[in-house]
Amino acid sequence: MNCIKFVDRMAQGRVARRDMIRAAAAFGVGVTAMPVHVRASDQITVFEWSGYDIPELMPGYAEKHGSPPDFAIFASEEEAFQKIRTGFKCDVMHPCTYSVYQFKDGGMTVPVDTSKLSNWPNVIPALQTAEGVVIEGAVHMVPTDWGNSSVIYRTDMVDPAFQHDESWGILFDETYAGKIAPSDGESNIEIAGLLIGLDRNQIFRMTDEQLEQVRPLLEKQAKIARFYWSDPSEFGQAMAAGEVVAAYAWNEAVKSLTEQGIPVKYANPKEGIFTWLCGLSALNTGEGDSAMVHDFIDAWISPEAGKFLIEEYGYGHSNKVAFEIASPESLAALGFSTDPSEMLADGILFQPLVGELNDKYVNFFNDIKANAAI
Amino acid sequence: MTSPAPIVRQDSRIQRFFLRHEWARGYALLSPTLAVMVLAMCLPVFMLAAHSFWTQNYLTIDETFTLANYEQALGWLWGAEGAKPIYIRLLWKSMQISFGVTVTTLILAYPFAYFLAFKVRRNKNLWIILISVPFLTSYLLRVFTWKIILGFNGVINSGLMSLGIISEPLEFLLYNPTAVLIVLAHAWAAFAILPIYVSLEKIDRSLLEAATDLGDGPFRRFWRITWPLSVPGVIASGLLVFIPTVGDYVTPKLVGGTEGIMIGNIIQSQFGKANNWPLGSALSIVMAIAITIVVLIFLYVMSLGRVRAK
Amino acid sequence: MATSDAIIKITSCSKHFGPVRAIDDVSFDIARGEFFSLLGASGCGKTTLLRLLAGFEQPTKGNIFIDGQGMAGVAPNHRPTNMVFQSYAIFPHLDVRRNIGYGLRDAGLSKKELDGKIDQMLELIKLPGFGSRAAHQLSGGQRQRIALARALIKRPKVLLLDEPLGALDKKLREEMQLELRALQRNVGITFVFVTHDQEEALTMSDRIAVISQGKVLQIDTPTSLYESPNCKEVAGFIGTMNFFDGTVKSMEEANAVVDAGPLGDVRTRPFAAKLPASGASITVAIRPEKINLNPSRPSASHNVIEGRMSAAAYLGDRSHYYVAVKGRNAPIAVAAQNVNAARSWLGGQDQPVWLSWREDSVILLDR
Repeated sequence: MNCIKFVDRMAQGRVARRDMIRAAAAFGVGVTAMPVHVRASDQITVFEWSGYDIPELMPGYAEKHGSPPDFAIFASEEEAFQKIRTGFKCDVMHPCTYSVYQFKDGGMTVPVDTSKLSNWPNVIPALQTAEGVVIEGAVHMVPTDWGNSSVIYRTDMVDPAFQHDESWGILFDETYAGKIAPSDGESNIEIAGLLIGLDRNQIFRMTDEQLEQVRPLLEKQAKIARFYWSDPSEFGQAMAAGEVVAAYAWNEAVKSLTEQGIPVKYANPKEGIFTWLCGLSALNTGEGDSAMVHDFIDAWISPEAGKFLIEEYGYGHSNKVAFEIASPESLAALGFSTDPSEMLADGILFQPLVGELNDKYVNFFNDIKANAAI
Repeated sequence: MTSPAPIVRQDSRIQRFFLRHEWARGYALLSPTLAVMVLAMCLPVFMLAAHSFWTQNYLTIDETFTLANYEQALGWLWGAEGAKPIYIRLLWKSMQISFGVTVTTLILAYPFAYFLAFKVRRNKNLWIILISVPFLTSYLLRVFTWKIILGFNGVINSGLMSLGIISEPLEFLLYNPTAVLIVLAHAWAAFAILPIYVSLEKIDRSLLEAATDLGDGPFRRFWRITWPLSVPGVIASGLLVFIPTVGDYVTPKLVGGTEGIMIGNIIQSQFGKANNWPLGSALSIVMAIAITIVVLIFLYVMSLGRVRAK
Repeated sequence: MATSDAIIKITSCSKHFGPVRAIDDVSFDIARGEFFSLLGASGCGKTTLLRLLAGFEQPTKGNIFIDGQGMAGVAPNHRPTNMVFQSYAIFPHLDVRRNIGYGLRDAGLSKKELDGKIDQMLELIKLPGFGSRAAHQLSGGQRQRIALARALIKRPKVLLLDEPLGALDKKLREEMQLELRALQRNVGITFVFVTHDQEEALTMSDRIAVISQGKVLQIDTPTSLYESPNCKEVAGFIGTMNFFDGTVKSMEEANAVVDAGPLGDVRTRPFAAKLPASGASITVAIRPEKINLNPSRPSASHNVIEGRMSAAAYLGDRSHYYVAVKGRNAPIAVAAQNVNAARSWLGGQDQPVWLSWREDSVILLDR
């Protein structure tokens, strides 16, 4: 009613300027106040990978704070980075060792006070000090989950000899033309680097000459690949159908394909297996409470969360107690021992590609893809 | 009521102003649209243009004016040092794919629109709603449906195999430019049908009877009357399909495989992984200008053709 | 008309649209070279009949023969007819020349011959030099002429015209009526002309078929239709008519005496149509212009009645008067040419007047 009257008065030119301003101010206040009213609680906002937004991975948090945090989902760290950079407000993000620098350099992360994390002492020591966890003397990413990147292959469709001589080379092998699925990413460059004999550090900082050396390999791969996958379900379905016989994969793929009864094996390539390590970073871009952020991270690195992650997702966890309470069968199926330190030490930990190096790798791979398409 | 109501109500100053000035009424009516247009269209385009003259410095942007991005994108044309041909060649290829999509879509849409305009007597609205039903689901879902149809174990392959026509699944159905073409043509079909339908529906039926009366059989009548009168709709549909598909990146990413990549994928990568917004902006603008030029040439040729027909 | 020279023969033709009988068992012939009009109110079936001739509709029953050839199953593009559409149907994407030459694409003419024919047509329709005009640059009258030329250039055996003058203003329409008639005589092609305007039909036609509710009521020359309509409906549709109900009192040497109620006894001259039996209920019809208006009682002994002036309308060349008669609700319409200056003795409302008419002005119709 009031509203109608006001509009009427305005139309008849009977509203004084002061009234107008007061009304506009009231409206403005209303607009800014609205989100506060709409938000049910003052929860923190967590920017997560899809599938990680479930309460089992943060036991106790919801009980303590009344509800789970608000989740937003991203599909790739680059997407998440661009979104936060353009103003998305969140308190916690889930980067990996190779991507966390971007967030740190962008001034988005704040160091985590590990003394506030009750589970921190049980975090595997090697992970507590890993590159990417500690940056410039402060913990910018609390390690949570880790795993491998390797080749998954159909044992029934790949030459049996391969089982005794597992190699990254299968992703570049014309014998399997049209039947391989590399991932859609720069890791292909690093893998090709391994194949031409570069060491585990060199592959993350290749010179222009070295890039030119791997170019023929990558161009060949672009020709023989069925597709580059950007979501694990893509190669998962293709492998189940027999359309693809070998793919770049994370541990979890072995678990899901084996459960479907598909004969697959996760290779331990002679050139080395990759290890990735991801974790939670506290961000300064949100409006949430810092204590709640620490509670959330602490819940994630609890042994119960770890047990769930190992058994249900097939990934490694940062809490060493988790490996003691996880079922031995699931550990064995994944090829984990109760002591993950050894595995961690063997693997080639992904290193960050920062700044120009990132541009160089990305554009080089874009070049390869574009050339294959033309 | 105690006081008698005035017979003629005196208009307020604002009302009088609007009464007197037709342009003011027009702009007042347009202003919400205009505001949205300025905010949602002009501003982003302006930002894009501005970015294209800047330089990315890891996480910061150097706002010194430079043409380096354009040199990177186009330099190959005049042999600039270090400029790569991929952007231009990919743009050209994207246009070829889009052209293919446009032609395919029009070939599919025209008979449908014709049927709708001339053969459907009752419930035309129902038909039009039915055309748009697939659009109630998300685009991604429709792409995935095509993956199911064209896939290795998909509808077509398992159908052909169970009929014994093939023994091995056909691999050329998915993950190549043809798959991109099929999916895009399907996705844009409804957008193409409607303008053609409208132009056909508008044709005075007595023109067709007159042509018949003057000796034309059905086919000749189509080519001499129906087709030329529906050309404006066909052109509108063609542009409606061609312009947005050149820059598409979702479809090539999902069904294009390694050969089906288009310029949109590279641009998207510049705004994402490569984190080079200025180059991405320059590529976007080059693409937009290239599309505009192609469209203008096309329209010019069409108008020449029509002048010559006279 | 001799049927042997018929160019169109319609034999018990019917056309049904669902339950609607648009054309109901119609049979008649149209002679070669005739200007033949189909006249009727809108929705009477005249356009359907024309479309049956053109082939856009197929009869539900019956047959149509054009120049001796059965038209069943013959498509419009294979018939020796051409049509001028009500909307003219000028092709909007073609210029005037291309519109006119449209139907001659297959005639095997050289470009020069074709151009010659088109020029000839442009002359005929009095639009020389309009050849390169675009369709949207033409006025209504020009469109009508081009539609005509486009059909005539095909030299059809029959030209079908669907209310071609309906969209023109009155003056242009009257001009075109005469032109069209002259043109038809000139080219010697049979015209079948659909119209709802009786004046137009009377002006132009050799013969007129009056159609109502899918049936043909009367086919005759304009004079016969006007002077001796065969039923009340035709009499009412063509021109204005005063009707009176009456009973035949006696027949004297084929002259009837009819008791027409308020009119008193009406006497008629003998006429060719069948005579009603004594005692039959009939309708007496008299045209307004055949009634004389007198200031005092004329000397005639019968066909005279007294009335009072109830309304008058001055139309310039003539005047219409409405005269109230005792015992009758509706006034009698009288039309008089204003040969001299307006009748000075007509003072105005309620002035007593005397109406009289000749015996041969009376038409007797079935009730």
